[in-house]
Amino acid sequence: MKTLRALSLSVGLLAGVAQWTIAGNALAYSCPLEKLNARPPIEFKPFPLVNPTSGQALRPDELLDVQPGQQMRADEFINRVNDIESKLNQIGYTLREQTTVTVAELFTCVDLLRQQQDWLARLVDPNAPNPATTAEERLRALESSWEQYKQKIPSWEDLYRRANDASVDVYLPPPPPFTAPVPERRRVEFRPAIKERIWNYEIGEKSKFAAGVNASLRLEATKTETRAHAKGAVTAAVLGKWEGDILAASADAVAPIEDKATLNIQVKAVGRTLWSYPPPGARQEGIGIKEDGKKSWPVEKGVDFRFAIGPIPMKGTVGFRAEAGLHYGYTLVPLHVGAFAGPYAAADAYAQCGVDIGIAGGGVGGQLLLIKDSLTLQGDALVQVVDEPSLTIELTGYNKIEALSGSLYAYGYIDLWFKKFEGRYDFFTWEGFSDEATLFHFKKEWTPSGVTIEGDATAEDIMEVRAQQSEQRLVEIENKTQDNLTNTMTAISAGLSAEDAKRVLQDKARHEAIAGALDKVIKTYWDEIRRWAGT
Amino acid sequence: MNRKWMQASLVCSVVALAGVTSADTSMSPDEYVKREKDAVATYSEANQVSQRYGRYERTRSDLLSPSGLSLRVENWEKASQDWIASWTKVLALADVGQDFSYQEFERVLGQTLSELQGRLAVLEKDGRSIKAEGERLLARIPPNADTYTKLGAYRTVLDLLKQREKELFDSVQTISGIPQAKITKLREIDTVSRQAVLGRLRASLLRVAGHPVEQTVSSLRTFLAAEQIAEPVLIQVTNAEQEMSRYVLNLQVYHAEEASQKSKALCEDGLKTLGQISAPAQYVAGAKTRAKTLCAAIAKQYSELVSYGVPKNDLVREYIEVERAALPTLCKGANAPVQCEKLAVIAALQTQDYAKMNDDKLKFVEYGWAELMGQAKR
Repeated sequence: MKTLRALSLSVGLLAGVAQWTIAGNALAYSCPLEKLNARPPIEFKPFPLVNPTSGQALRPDELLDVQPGQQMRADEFINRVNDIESKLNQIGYTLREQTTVTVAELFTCVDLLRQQQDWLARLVDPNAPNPATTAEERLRALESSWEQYKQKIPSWEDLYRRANDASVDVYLPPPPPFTAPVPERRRVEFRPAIKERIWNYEIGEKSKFAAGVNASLRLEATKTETRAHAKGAVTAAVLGKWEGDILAASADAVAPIEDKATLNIQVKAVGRTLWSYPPPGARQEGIGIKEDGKKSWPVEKGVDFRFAIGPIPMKGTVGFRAEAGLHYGYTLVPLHVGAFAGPYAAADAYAQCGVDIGIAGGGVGGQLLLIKDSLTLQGDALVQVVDEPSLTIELTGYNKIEALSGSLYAYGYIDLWFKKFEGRYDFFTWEGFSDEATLFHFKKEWTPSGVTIEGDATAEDIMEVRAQQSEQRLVEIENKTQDNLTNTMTAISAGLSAEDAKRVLQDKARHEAIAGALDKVIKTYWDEIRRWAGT
Repeated sequence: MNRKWMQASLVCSVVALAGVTSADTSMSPDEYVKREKDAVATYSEANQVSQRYGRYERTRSDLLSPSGLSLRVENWEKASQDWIASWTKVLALADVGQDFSYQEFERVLGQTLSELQGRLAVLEKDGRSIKAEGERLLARIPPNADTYTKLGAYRTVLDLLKQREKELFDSVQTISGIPQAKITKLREIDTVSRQAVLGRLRASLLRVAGHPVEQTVSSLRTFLAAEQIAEPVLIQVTNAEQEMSRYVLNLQVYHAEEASQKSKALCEDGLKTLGQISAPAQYVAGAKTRAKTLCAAIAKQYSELVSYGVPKNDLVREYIEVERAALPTLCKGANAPVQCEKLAVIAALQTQDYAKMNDDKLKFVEYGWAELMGQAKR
């Protein structure tokens, strides 16, 4: 059976918008609902009562299978077919056409559709993501991109490890080497020292009898030598006619750092050289000298003297006889002079006289100790270096004196056979003077750490010590300053080169990277929401 | 001759002369003064450099330490990224399905937006704090004019110090400025995201159909507008209530007093602001009720503190005595030696000392202690 084709309709879908309310404006279009595509009518040709397949005639009451499971009488079926054909023919169509035709349709309101399309275009972006993409998928995409950039952000440990890798260029310039000079320790300078003590001692009247002692001791110490000069003399004066040294001794000692030490001693008495050291022509061997000894000599000096005992003219010799000498001891090694010199003298005054006329006679009487003196000069000058350089100077002068004790007189007489006249002339009478004392004692010890003095220090000595102590304090300040500066700079240099110093720049770079990645996340999200917000 | 006359005419004369010679080549006074001045000037400059390095090292530590500025900024960046990710979830929320219920949607959205507003407020506060901390650190290491006259031999060290200071300055400036630079954008995101929620909701409603799109969108727009006004007020009042709770718990009576005054003004302004919005009615009513409840709680807590009858000097003393126990542990590391010394001075105050203090002094002690503890804990 020919499959009947019913009317076929093609319907254009309208966008299923039940309402359009766009800014309060209603749509302006109204279009018809249906449209009939009529053709010019054609002649009606009924279908006969024959089987369309075999062409044989059909009985009117013959049953036909018109649909699966549905039967119909043949005459009824043909009547219905012809009825449809008639109506089709009126609008120009026939059941006999082989192609599908559009007989009628719902009218497509194109203008309306175009207007709606415009509005839609304003509301939605044609490039908007497919609504079928779920929010979960977008969230996953965002989280994925966040994870990706997080992985690209190096961790601190990674950066540190990479920075230590030899294949990675170091992006920090190496700190310049610490080239500060090694600090020099300042020291108090070693300065040469000279100390001298002089002592002069005199008693009596030179016009009659006088006695005295002269002592001087001078010590010098420098970096290259030590030196001692000692001088002692016992002096006397007789009746204004003579004065001078009963005995004078001087000694010069030099102990240089490298050359041979030298010692020169000279002893004079009443102007004559009695003894010298070294003996003429002698050679001193060795660097050092050690000499000590005791010498003594008799010394005498007299002067003529005229005087009168009343009418008796007298003439005589007045003077002194003395035993004088020298104790000495010297030790000289490089930069060390140890000196001991002790001149001594014991002198008695004497007188011898006679008369100038025959009828008279005369003599002397009494005993007068002119001077008995023992002088000791002792000195040490030493420069040495044990843990630190040091300088020691010590001067001591000691004296024991007894002088002008006793009496000395002359007498003259005239012996008449009935009586005797005797007169005296006193040269000197006094109980005398004696003393035993330390003339001077001074000791100074100097080291770079400080200076000490003891004994009879003068104002100059104290000022010198204070100046050296000030210099000591100044040097301590300078050294402390230098230590502080060096330690500070060393610590600062180490701190500036520490790992944390590199981390400062690393952290800055890391944060710039994180901030940049965050900016990308913000931009991604921003672009997303702007589309939805329609901005 | 008269012997006695002769004796009397004798003149004993003792003449003693002592002589001294010294020789010394000491420094001249001018040389001494010059050397002393040089030494003192050198010592002084060394100390200046030492102090300058100390400030550099302290600032570096404040930047890099586990509680330092760098880690704070990193945490801020993570928090801001999480905040943005949360907004993505809000957009997902607006992608509704067939079972869409506007009431439920508004409720969940409101909760989420409240949380986001709170987190944004924290981000803003932290950003300001980070910026302030950065400025504090930068003030410690200003660019230095190198005027040392005695340290020429250590020029390399001084140049290196200057270079490191500059690196640190640049680093602190850059890192501490990151949050503030992003806050404006986050605020824009907060505003535009709400519009995006509207657009997203409209698109999904159009897709699923069966719901009044424009009415729903309009309701949401009204809700968002109200929420954007109400939420900051509620956050401020909530923070004020939490702050007052903390002060009252710690017996910080002067802090509580000041907070009470500020809260009164805050509550007045806040309720006035809430009074300007009327829709959506249920939401606005809820916000006003919550604000009033919080404001009442603030006032009640303060009045309870001062109504116990305990004198203020006792309250201050109690506050400090409780916190004093933490001092040995806190100051053991000597990370904040200056603050620890000052705290020790305050901790040594006795009961009779507090009894003698007037209001101004007690307030000074309480505020001083709180600030120093905050600095020491950093």
